[in-house]
Parts: sequence; structure tokens; C-alpha cells
Amino acid sequence: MDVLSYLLIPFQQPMLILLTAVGTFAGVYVGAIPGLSATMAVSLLVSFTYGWGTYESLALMLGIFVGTVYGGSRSAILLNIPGAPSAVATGLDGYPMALKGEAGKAMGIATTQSVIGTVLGIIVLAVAAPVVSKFAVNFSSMDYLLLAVMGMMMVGSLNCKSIFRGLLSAAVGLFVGTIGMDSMTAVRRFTFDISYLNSGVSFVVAMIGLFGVSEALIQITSLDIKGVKQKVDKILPSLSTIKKYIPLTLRSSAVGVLVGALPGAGGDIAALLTYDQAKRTVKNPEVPFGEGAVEGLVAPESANNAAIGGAFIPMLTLGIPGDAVTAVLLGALQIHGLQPGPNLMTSSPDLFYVIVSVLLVASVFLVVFGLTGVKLFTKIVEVPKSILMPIIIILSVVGSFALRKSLFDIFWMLGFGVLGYFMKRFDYPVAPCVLGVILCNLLENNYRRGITLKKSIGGLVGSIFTEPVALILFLVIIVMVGTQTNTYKNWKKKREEKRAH
Amino acid sequence: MKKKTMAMVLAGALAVSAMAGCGNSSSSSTTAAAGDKTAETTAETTAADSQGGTAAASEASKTDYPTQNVNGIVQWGEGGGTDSLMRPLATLAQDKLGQSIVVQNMTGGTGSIATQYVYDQNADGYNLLMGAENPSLYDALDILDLTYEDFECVLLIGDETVGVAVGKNSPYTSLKEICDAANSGTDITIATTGTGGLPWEVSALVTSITGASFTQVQYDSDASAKVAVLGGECDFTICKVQSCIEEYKSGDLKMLCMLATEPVEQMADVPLITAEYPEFSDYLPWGPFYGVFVKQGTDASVVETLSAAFVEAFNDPSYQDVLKNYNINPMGYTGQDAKDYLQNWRTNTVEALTKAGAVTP
Amino acid sequence: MSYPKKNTDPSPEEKPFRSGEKGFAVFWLLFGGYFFYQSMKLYQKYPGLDSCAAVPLFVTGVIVVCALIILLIDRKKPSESSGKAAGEVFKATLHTMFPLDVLVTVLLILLYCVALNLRLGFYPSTSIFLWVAMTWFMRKNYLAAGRIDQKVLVRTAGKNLIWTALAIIFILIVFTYLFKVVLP
Repeated sequence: MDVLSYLLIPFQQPMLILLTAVGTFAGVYVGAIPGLSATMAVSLLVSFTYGWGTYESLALMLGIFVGTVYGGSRSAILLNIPGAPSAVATGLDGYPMALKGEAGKAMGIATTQSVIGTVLGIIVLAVAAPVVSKFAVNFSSMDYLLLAVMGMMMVGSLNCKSIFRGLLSAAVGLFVGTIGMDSMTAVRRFTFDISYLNSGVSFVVAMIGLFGVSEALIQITSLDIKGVKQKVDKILPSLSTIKKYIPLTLRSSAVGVLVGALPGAGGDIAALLTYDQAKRTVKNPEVPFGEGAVEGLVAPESANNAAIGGAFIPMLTLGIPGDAVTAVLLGALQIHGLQPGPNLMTSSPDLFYVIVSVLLVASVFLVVFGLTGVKLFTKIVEVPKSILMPIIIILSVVGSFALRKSLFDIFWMLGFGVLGYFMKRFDYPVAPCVLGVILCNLLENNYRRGITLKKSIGGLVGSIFTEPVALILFLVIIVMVGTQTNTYKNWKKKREEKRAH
Repeated sequence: MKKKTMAMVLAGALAVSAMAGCGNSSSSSTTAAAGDKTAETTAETTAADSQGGTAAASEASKTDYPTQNVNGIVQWGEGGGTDSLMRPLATLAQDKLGQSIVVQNMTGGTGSIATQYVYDQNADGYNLLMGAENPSLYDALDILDLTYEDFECVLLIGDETVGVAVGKNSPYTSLKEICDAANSGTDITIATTGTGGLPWEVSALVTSITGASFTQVQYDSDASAKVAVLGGECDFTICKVQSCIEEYKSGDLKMLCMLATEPVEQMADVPLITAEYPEFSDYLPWGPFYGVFVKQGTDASVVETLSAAFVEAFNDPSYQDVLKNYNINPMGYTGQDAKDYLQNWRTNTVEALTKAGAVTP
Repeated sequence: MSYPKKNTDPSPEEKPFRSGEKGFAVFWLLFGGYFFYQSMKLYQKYPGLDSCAAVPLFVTGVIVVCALIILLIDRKKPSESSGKAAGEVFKATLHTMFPLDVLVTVLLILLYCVALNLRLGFYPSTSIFLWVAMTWFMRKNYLAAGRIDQKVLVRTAGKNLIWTALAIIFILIVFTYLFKVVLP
């Protein structure tokens, strides 16, 4: 029963609990501010806690991690600016809910789903880490490519005038992602000798501009329309509501853990994938997706939090980070003299289970901190637009500057904002563009690796049939494409009509 | 509500601890004040800036340096090898220096973004470049016109030993087998981290001596390249000791040989590359290194102050432990020793790369 | 779009075209075309399916193709400016693109960028931006029939000062103190 004694360590040292609480609280608010990221906060803490004990520094950092993944949903729901990339999908339905006066309900759901997702991810971490890490290691470039393609398929399921507008927007996003010094060959692409562009266009800058500033500009065109009064009576969703969505939650969390466990992908991709899956599998939501569907919140929020547990799997069992934050945590552990890797579970099992335990404690605090302050936050949406919009613009400016301390980031962000405004004004969807920027690296680099390994497109396609994981993913994509075409929709309609007789 | 008050208390506790920890009290106020006036740490230099810069420089020469926070710009990402070595060092050195060293990461372009940034700032000792070995090759690789020759070395921390790693199911048991296979036409894949990265550098060295060339598959980081070999996607890669030590112990990776003149302590039974290719001894010792630099032209007394602080930090037993955990061969060079090392490294490596055809002179 | 949505709102496919919407596709065509040309040049330098030019070429090609298709499909669809003279269409487009408030905001943003670029300092520039923007947006309160209502103006301006101050203080605490971000 050593495991049990390790799990109980935090409870024997109240300082750890306090630090976890402080971390979670700070994380929620750091995550809620666009431009401040978990990676930034955790790296600051690495320097800050250098002389501390291992568990103490871990408690603080893990708390912040859990907090920020959830916190990003706050600004996504209230301001349509994702506070963290993992919250991009949350805003798609969360923000419309806020506009309808249901911000409180949205935040309540986001909180509960985040907590459930975190716990599910932790359970998988505690119970099945070695198995999942084997799966993660054998994920090949082809598999990542298919995963990225699945992510891009989301373009097809968005509502817009015609699919070509979505495709165009996605292509623009992918193009923007290629600007800069190519990570593989160090060749400068489309930089026109501007040294600032050597590091490319940061996707956070694009995100803040395309979502946040553009939305502010659009709202400015309708300043007269007052903000809708927020209903704050029912924040905590009822037990029956939670039960209703359990299948979706479980599915999304499963995808979240697996994607989080992949070294090349993290919570943001998990959120996008599960949002899309929810859209395709929930046939008759109460409210259509994109206008405030609860399912559109449930899926990404549980997925991105489950990805936390997932990200720890390769980090602790292989010494390979599952995402940017675990990369920093890895460094922190090594600084403290620990060696995450295949031998960690045997040489320092206490560390493993202490991490599990601290994450669980953080989830508990997430419930507390996630639900408190909701009323205060919803008041933000009620501030008159004339005051709120300039503040949003400034917040976007500061947020994009905080990233790399570059004045040019601000200008680019504003440029994206104006572009996004025109796109929205002329009915071109903006989300595929952000999608393209986020997925560009994953898509392009794995495509190129695949070609290098298989020598030709034919070889690349052929490898789908020789590797089981690739085959499964490919079949899923075929199904996804197939269910979208009109022939399928007609077939389904006929079937339902037949049944009705 | 009780929960709300607890939340407030915790928030207060965090704010207080953050303020106390995040630098000495003087630095917090100077940072806020600097925010109002023209600040030093942005990429553009204007008349106002250089005025402030020369004022600081003349102040610095009066050994008043440092009077405000110093920025440590790390070339690589958070949590990576370089970052993990720099943060503890900076935390220790700032106590000796008397001012906070604020560590930030500026990634991109194989470290050239950070290099260019520090170079664009004033040579006043308030911006430190914390990097790895890559800048030595920038001009040869046409990445940037700057190299470490344009910087003064404050401290050369140490270097690492690297070796050839294959997956546990690999049919190859020695580097010679790999090279022979490559030379006879088999397609051998090496997992690299892109042009200018460690595996790319060593691959060129191997090609220049053995004539064998490999298909290079580029990954995003040392870790992903390692995964590629673990999962069998690529035949081999070049690993630093700290990247592969755990997998070596568990048997998931097999180390075929090390690029060193003596066996590595924790991997005593792994042969040296010179056993099969004695010509390699021309290049050894060789390995990625890490150091802290300032722009060339920085006042000598400023560099001395910095070096003194960093050397003291370096010698701190807790930092020596960190170095040990990361399997870094400690050097702690400053001044002329550092210059010699850098020049040697650069000459050797560029020579080998040219011979291998990896770079054109 | 502004909520709440009514059931009579047209579905996305049926929403009427605004002035300038069709022209926007031309913009994308030019944008895509230019970068397709740049990608071609890059591809000639670095040929190969797995080169750094392959994906940009493909992607910019997609932009061009989609823009063309959109232009074709949308050609016949009715729009706000259907059948109007060219000059009127142009004016209507400008109107859709830049309603007065947006125009003012964009101008303020430009001025703000210039101020930041000239190193006028973050806090002064931001405070001015915030206060001017807020006061302008609320002009309906104190601009009645072309005359300025002094009392309301003062009250509005005063309230905006408070809001501006709050925002600045928030940024000060979070960004400068906690995260040590030195603002421009």
C-alpha cells in the first residue's frame, strides 16, 4: 500500500495544500488574461522557486497549470478572446451564450466540465501511464498528419455562406503559419528581409487580433444595442444536466487524454478535435452549434483539461514533454535532481503519486475558485460597450506585447484585428484562419517528414494501409467527410422519412 | 462567504510573496518607473534610447553597474536544455550582482532571434545572451551575419558529451555498420533537429570522415528526435548524455558510441568513436556548449563585474549539482580561456562541415 | 451580428450580400496570386515535395482557386448594391467597411501606434486612447441636435476618466509588477 501512502503525502504537509491552492487561484486569473500564458508563469516560477523543496515548487506550478487551462475559458466566454490557445474552441459557443445573457451558465458549465476532465485525465495517468506512453511513442509522422487533417476538417462543419469561404480562410491561416524561418531548413519564407518576421507570426498574436480586436470592432458598429442583462441565478449546473452530458464528457476526455499524451500535440488540438466531434455526433442540440450550444462547451472544456493528465504521461514515463508547460516542468524536475524517464516509476514512485495527488487537490480548488467570482465576472459583460471595447483593445495590445516584448507584435495583432473585422463584415468565417495558424506546424512538418521517409506521395498514402493507427484515423476522416456530403444527408433524410411511416 | 474570504487571503498571500520574491524591492519600483519613461528593453533604438544608453554606459564605467534589472535572454525554449541551465545560474548570480536578472525566452531561427535582439541593444551590460553553441555557425549557415565573435563571453558554463543512439530493436550494433550500410546504398535515416542543430552538426562530421551520407528527417526538438528513434521511425540520432541516460539505463535506447576522448562515467561500457574511426580524434573533444554573453564593446569593468558574479554562482555547490544532474562537463571559463575555446570550436567545426559539403566556404 | 437572434433571421446561406462583399473576393485573389508567385520563386530555388516551398505553394494555390470559385458562384447573387452606378457602389462599400465609429476607432488605433512608435510612452498613450475613445463613443449622451450639453459632457468625461484609471491600474499591477513586463 505504498501507493496510498504516497498519495497522502500532500495531506500530511499542509503547506503543499496551501501552495496548490495559491497556484490554482493564480492560474485561473493568469489564464483568463489573454497574452499571459501558463508557460510564462511556470517558467517565472522555476527561477523563483529555485531554492525551494521539490514538492513545494511542484505544488505551486501544478496548481498554476490546472488553473490556466481552465482560466482561458473565462475570457473566451466573456470577451471572445481565448486566454489560452486551449480555449479557442470554448469561445465558439461560449461567447454567443454570453451575448444571450447566459455567461454565468456558460462559466458554470466550463468549470464543472474542466474539473471532471482534469480528474478523468489524472485517473488515466495514475492507472494506465505506461500503456498510454507506449501508444504515444509509436505515433508516427503519418499519424500526426492525419490528426492535423482531422483538425482542419472542422472548417467543413462551420456555418457560412459557402464552404469555399471557409476553405479560403483556412488556407490563409495555413499560409500565415508558414511565414518566417522554416524550422527544418532555416530558410526564410516570405520575410522580405524584415528581421522581425524571421520568427514568424505568433499564433497568439493572430488569435488575439482575429478573435478579440475584430470582435471589438464589430461590436463598435452596434454600440447602440445594449449588452444583454446577465442571468446569474443558475451558475452551478444541476446534477441532471451534468448526467445528461456524461457520454459526451467521457468521449471528449478520452480524446483529450490521448491527444495530450502525444508529444507533438496538446490541449488546444484536443479541444478543437472534440468540438468538431461533438458537432458531428450531437444531432439535435437544444441550441444550434455556434449560437450557444451547451455541447459546444462541454466537449472542449473537458478535453483540454483531460489533456493535462495526458501531458504528464510521456513527461513522467519517458522524460518527453507532452506540451509546452510540461516541458518547463521537466526542466524544473531536472534542476531539482530528478530524472523523469522510464525509470522514474521505479526509482521515485513517491514523486509520481505526489504529482497525481497534487493534481487532484488542484481540481478540488478549481471547483472553488472556478465558481467564485463568476458573478463578478459576468458583470464585466454588462459594462457598456463604449467603455468595454476600448479596454478590450488595450488589453489585447498589452497581451500581445507581453508575449515577446515586441512592438511589432502589437502592430501585427491590430492588423489582424482589422482584417478579421473585414472578414466578419463580409461574411467570411474567421475561425478557420485561426485554425490554420494553429495547425500549420503540425500539418506541414509531419507532411514533410512523411514525404522524406516514404519518398513520395504514393508512398505516404500507402503507409496508411500498413500502419494500424494510421488506418483507423484515415477511416475516421473518411466517415467525417462522408457524413458531410449531401448524398449522405439525403440518404439519412429518406431513412428517417421511411421510419416515420 | 467563507470561500470568498479564503480566496482573497490567498490572493493577498500570492501577491505579497510574488512581490517579495520577484526581485529586490528596489527593482520593482524602478521597473514601474521605467515603464513611464523610455524603457531600455525594446528592439528599437532611437535617439532617446541611445542617450539613456550612453548615460548608463558612462555610469557603468564608474563601477556603479548595475543600477537596474538585467535581462537574460535565452535562445531556446522554456524547459529545454539551455533554459534549465540558465535559470538556476541566473537566480544565484543575481544575489551576487545585487540586481535581479530577469530571464526571458526568445526562440526562433536556431537561436538567431535572441542573438539579433541582444545585439540590437546597447552594449551596456543590461542585456545578456544566454545561449548554446549554435551562434558559432550562423555565418557559415547563412542564418545571420553575427557569431560569438561579435560578443564578449561572460562565462562559458560547460559542454556536453554526445553519442550515437539507436532504438532497442535496431539491427545495427556499431557506427561502422551504419556507415557501411549507408555507403552500400541502404537508405539510413537520421532524426535531426533541423539545419544547425546538434544531430545535423554531428552528421556532417561523420560524413566528412566516413563519406557516408544519411537521409535527414527533421524534428522540432531533441525530445521529438529521440521519440522518433524510440518508436522506430528513424534509424538513429545523436543524443546528449542527459537526453538519453534514462533510456539507456532502461534499455529502450542503445548507445553505439560516444564522441569523447574518455569513456563517459555513467555509460562506461559504451565504446568511443575513435575506436572505429581514429581520425575523429582530430575533432575531439567536441560537444555542444553553453554560455552567457554580452555585446562586444561593453565596458571592460562591466564584463568583469558580470563574470565575477556568474563565476561565483557557477561555483555554488547547488549549481554544480545541477550541472552534474545534466551531465554537463563543467568549464567555468572566462576571458581569454573562453575566447580560445570558442575559436577552436568554431574553426574545427566549420572545417569539418566544409569538408562534408554541409556548408560552402 | 447582434443577439438575441430572431427566428426570422435568414440562414447563413441566404443572408443578403453587403456592398463590397463580392469585391472582397477580388482582394483575396490578388493576395493569393501574389504569394503564389512568391511561392513559385521559392519552389524554383528549393524544389521537391518535402521542401520548404511545397506547402506554401499548395496553400496559396488553394487561396487562388477558392477566390476564383467564390467570384464565379457569387457573380449572379443579388447584393445591396446590385444595379447601382459604380461611384455609388464604391461609396456604399466604403460605408459598409468603415461606419463612422469604426473609422474613428481605426484612426485612433493608428495614432496610438504612431505614439508608441515615437516612444511617447505606454501609459500616457494608452490613457489618452482610452479616454478619447470612450468619450467619443458616448457622444450621443451629450450631443443633442448639434449642441453640446455641457453638464452631461463633464459627467461623461469624468466617468470615463475613472474607467481609464481603473484599466491602467489593473494593467500596472498585473503586467508590470507581477510579470515584470516592461511596457514600451
